Amino acid sequence: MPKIKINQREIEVEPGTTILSAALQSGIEIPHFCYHPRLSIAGNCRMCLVELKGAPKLVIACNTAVTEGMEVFTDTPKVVKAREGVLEFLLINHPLDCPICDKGGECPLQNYTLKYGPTQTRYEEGRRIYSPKSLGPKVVLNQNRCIFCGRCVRFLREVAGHEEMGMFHRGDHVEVGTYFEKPLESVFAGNITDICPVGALTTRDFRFKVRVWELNPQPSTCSLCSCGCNLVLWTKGDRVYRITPRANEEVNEAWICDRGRFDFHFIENSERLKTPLIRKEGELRPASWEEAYSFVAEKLSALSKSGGGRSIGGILAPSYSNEEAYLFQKLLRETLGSNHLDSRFGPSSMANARAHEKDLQMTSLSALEGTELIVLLGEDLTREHPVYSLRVRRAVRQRGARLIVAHSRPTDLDSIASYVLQYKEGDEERFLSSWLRALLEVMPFESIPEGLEEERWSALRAWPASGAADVPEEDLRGAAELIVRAPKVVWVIGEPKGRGASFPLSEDRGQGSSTGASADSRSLTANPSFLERAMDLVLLTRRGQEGGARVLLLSEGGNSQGLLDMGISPKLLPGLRQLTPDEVGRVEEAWGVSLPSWEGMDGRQMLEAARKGEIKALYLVGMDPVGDLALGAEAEEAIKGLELLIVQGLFLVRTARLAHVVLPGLSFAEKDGTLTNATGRVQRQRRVISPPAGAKDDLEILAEITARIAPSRPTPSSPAEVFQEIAQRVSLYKGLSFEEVRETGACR
Amino acid sequence: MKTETMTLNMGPQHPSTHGVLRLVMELDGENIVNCTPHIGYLHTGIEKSMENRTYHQVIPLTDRMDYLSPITNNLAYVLAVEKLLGLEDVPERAQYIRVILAELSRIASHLVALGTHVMELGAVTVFMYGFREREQILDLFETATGVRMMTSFIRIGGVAADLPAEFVEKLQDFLKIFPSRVDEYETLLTNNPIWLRRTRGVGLLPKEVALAYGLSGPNARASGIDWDLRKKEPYCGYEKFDFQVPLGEEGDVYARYRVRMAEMRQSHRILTQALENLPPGPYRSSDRKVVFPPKDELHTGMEALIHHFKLATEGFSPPTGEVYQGIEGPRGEIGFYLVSDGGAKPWRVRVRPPSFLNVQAIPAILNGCLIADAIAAIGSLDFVLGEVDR
Amino acid sequence: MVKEILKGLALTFQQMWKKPITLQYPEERKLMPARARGRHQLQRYEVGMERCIGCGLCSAVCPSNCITVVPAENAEEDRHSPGERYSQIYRINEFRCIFCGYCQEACPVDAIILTEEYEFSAYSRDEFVYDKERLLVSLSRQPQGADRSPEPIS
Ligand code: SF4
Ligand code: FES
Repeated sequence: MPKIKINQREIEVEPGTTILSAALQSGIEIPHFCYHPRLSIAGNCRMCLVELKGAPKLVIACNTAVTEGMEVFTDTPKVVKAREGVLEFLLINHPLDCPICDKGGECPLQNYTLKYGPTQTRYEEGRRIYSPKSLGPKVVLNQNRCIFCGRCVRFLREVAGHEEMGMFHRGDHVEVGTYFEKPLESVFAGNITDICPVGALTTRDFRFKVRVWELNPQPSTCSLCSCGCNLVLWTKGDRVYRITPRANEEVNEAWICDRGRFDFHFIENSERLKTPLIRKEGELRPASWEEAYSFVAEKLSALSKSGGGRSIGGILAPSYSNEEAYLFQKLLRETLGSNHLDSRFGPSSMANARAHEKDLQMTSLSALEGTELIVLLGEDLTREHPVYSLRVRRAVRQRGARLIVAHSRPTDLDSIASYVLQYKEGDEERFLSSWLRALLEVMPFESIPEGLEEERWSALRAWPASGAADVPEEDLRGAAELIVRAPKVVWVIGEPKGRGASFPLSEDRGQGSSTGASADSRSLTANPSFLERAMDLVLLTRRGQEGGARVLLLSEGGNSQGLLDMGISPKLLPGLRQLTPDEVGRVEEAWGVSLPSWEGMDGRQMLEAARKGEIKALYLVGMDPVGDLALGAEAEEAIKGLELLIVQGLFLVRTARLAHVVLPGLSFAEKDGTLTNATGRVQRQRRVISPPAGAKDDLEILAEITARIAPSRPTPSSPAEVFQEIAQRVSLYKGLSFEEVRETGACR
Repeated sequence: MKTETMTLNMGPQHPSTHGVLRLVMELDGENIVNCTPHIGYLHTGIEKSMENRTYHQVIPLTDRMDYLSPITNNLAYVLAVEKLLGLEDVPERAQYIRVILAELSRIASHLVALGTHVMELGAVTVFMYGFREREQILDLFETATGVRMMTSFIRIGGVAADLPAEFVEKLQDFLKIFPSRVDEYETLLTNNPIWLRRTRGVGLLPKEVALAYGLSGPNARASGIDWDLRKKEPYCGYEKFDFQVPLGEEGDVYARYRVRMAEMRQSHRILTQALENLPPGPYRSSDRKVVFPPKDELHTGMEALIHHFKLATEGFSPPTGEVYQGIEGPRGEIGFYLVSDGGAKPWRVRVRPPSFLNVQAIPAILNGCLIADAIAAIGSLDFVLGEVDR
Repeated sequence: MVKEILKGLALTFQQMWKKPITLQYPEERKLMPARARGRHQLQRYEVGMERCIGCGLCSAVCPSNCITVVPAENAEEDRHSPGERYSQIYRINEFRCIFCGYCQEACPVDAIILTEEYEFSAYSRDEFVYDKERLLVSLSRQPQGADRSPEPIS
């Protein structure tokens, strides 16, 4: 490893490191504009000039690799002068905009000028002025402020893979903008406003809202999809003003998608529920919490006494925290004796439990980087789990991995895939069968493949050898060969969706519920066996114990993995343990509780049972089945017959209007808790603002109801207490503590 | 015969405690056996607040400690910051303006000390006369700074603005009449037998005791300690002025009175010289990294605009380190000890408040004296509770 | 001893012939110096447009945190100030204000100035929170101070 000296300080770095990153690694500041550690080197701003011993001219630190014995100086008079000169040139054309510019206060150009720049102008000519250009609704461009470092262009090209911006013309006439002045469409567009070192790119959402120095940046975690991106929520008083990414190498590096960035204004929506409502004389009337609690508690205990646990069901949206989920299942299972528990209206699957059990689950995204082949199955990654798509793209574009995309619609990543297997929507089963056949052809098995249960093996063999589902035979075969040949395969599997999950900016989500309830009911049309069959495929391709294959199972909802971990499933106990009478017995003994041992119904079945009058009470948290396009009519019909419908959430959604009790809960920015992302990383969600008066923490609501129904048993009520109980009882979370899950999360 | 001492509370609301000070006196008949000052009634947490302000924003806070002489507070703080920054190019004109304002505020402060002290002993006339002249000085402050008391006028690197033309005229008028006014006070007091009886030999503060209590300023000098920072550790170019440091010997109330009167005359001398020699030139440093650029440049130069913007919103960040700077305030050495962690706000500010040390000396001079002399003795120590408690 | 006392009395007797320096407020008023730091005023351009661009430097520099500025974007139909940005809300709590004049110093467009008005009285505390309407110099009447170009104290 070369040893170099920067300002007489000796440091040792990897060969090939540039001077700039060597300096950054050892905490020496060298000002820079165009260089960004996560982008390619451009070397166009000249801000990073340093002096080398023995070199006649200054060199740019960002594009000069270190050599053994190199001596670098960052503060000689020559360097100081050069920096002043560079800044002076940049300021010549910079408009006098600081007072009206949103970047003011966090602007590298300002900071460097204060630190290294000249103090007085010598320039008297006019400034260069561009005519305004629009970048669409998300990002505002002011070219006059631009210093043409090219970070935005490089980000979109290299990281996002959405080459929408470019630099045009040359020299003093240089311009930056989108091709053909089209609006920016990338779901990662917001990131360019973070990395622009001046105020040329700012978000429209945050435009002229508030000064950055008035804001209080607070760490949290995104709950919109199970990527679990790390966030900074910028608050002032009780309002969130903007959201930016927080770096976490294990999750989102330094990026977030525009949904996570912009989709939070529902928090401050004036229509949020601020008081519990109880139906009296056919109408929902405001009530006190005391009334609401006793109403719910009385009704629930009466029902559980008369009809038993089987007459009660509960559905919790997958954006709720682990603690809430845990208490919810505790209320349903331990207190009310019901296994009718789910987080959606689709079929429940055991795929996650199996992946966990077989140790196939991908627990770190770095597995993506070293793999030879990535298979995207039924998952439009860029739309549904955008930030993970950045990893896949890098693995393919920069690390030489191959990609197979199998989906019913064209997806964003098709363009870099080796094989695109596009099957007909609704035809998943046939597609899987034909692919399996192709696989078995290129990889004939003499005996049962290792790790596959006998019954699964025979089930596999019995798969119908139906038609080719519109996918060309040679593609299926080619893809199968790739899989067989690749030493390491990563499967990324999503559930087939009934309809497109688009990324609307704002509105949509807020109205639905706190957190994507309506979105979740899309899995309605999911093929019941899709995920499990896909898992069989994965098991088939796993070679040896040492992880020939890894799988990342993606469902909708920011905490879908966490909910399964907590046992929000009719077939699972907390800790991804299959709900069998034996297992229940073991758990009962260990926990000292009694649990129902019968298999519960999934969300869809619950609705069906409600319609038939078998289920008399439903407790919906963050769910709005009636408001769902595909499910609405059926759900409305089913709900009518209920004796008790409890709806908890942020808004008076359509389902809530039919409820007997409505309980106002909190949004993600108003409560503490932990979320578990798709790779099993447990991260903190934080209360950064205080909730509207009258609404209550969902955890508190659940704890209070539980305590009222079973006053003799102690119920933990703070997130830390609940988490402690989880860590004690759920083996997956053993050894974790609420405090430890600090800034960047912990692996479970 | 068995006697008991009596405990008497003087203050916290008492007209002669010069603010909200409470003295718990143990009396044996007319004699004070023991006296304990209780302070803290005016505590405002100024030092702590300073840790939460940029270096620039701290200046108005300093005004509010010793509200009878805000300028010297400003000055001591600003000099400390300049020392921390190693800022040396404070223009001469700025230094002269600082001296002028500091000496004016010394006179104004002494006039309050004199007037209130004398009034407490029954002579209201001198109070009226003194306040008449003080009013003139406050008027001068208002002309220069825009307000009479909370001037916040001294700035890091200079002063907030140049002196307006009418200031110089007004100051000349003042300088013309002031010596005769001091004569008037002296006519009423210096040889007045009642005054002499009440002050001579009262409130004795021997030299060693004064030293032991760390007293400075007129109180120390009245006990014969030749210590004046303007001479010993000159700042703002005081070495260029010709003036004397009046000394007393006896260390009694009368000596302190005489020293203050003489000091006002010396301040007058300094003011006359300063006005005569007031050099032309800029009124603040040209170091744009810490001093706001001229406003007209904000509309033409990006450099100026950025510096202005950053200085207003974040302030500058001096190097890590700690400094102490004391100056000769009207009540003694007022000093600021600053610790910087390299950030834009001071990590710690500690004030050496002369008033605090003066209050500390109260038991030393009161124990054993008559209760009737307490008022005379307390008034002669000249403290401001705002500064004691901060 | 008598001599000293008589000397004193003579001095006070002489004062009777001097003109009093007392001002008969409120009939008589002191002329405030141009730099007086009294109540704030928001300035306009000659054409009536507001000078304030909502940059918030005043509120950032204010040591007592008494200024609230909420900016917004100018719309062509509803233009308040030249340029893109104006202050939608500009509020000063004059009770908290310490009249240091830092805001005037920090304002890059000379929009906020401190006038010579020092007489504050009102029947409620709320009235000391001045909103933009009360701070803005009125269009019809240009009171003193408005045409006075703000004397930069910096
Ligand atoms: S005068 Fe001082 S305290 Fe008052 S608003 Fe201006 S800066 Fe703030
Ligand atoms: S950072 Fe090196 S040239 Fe821009």
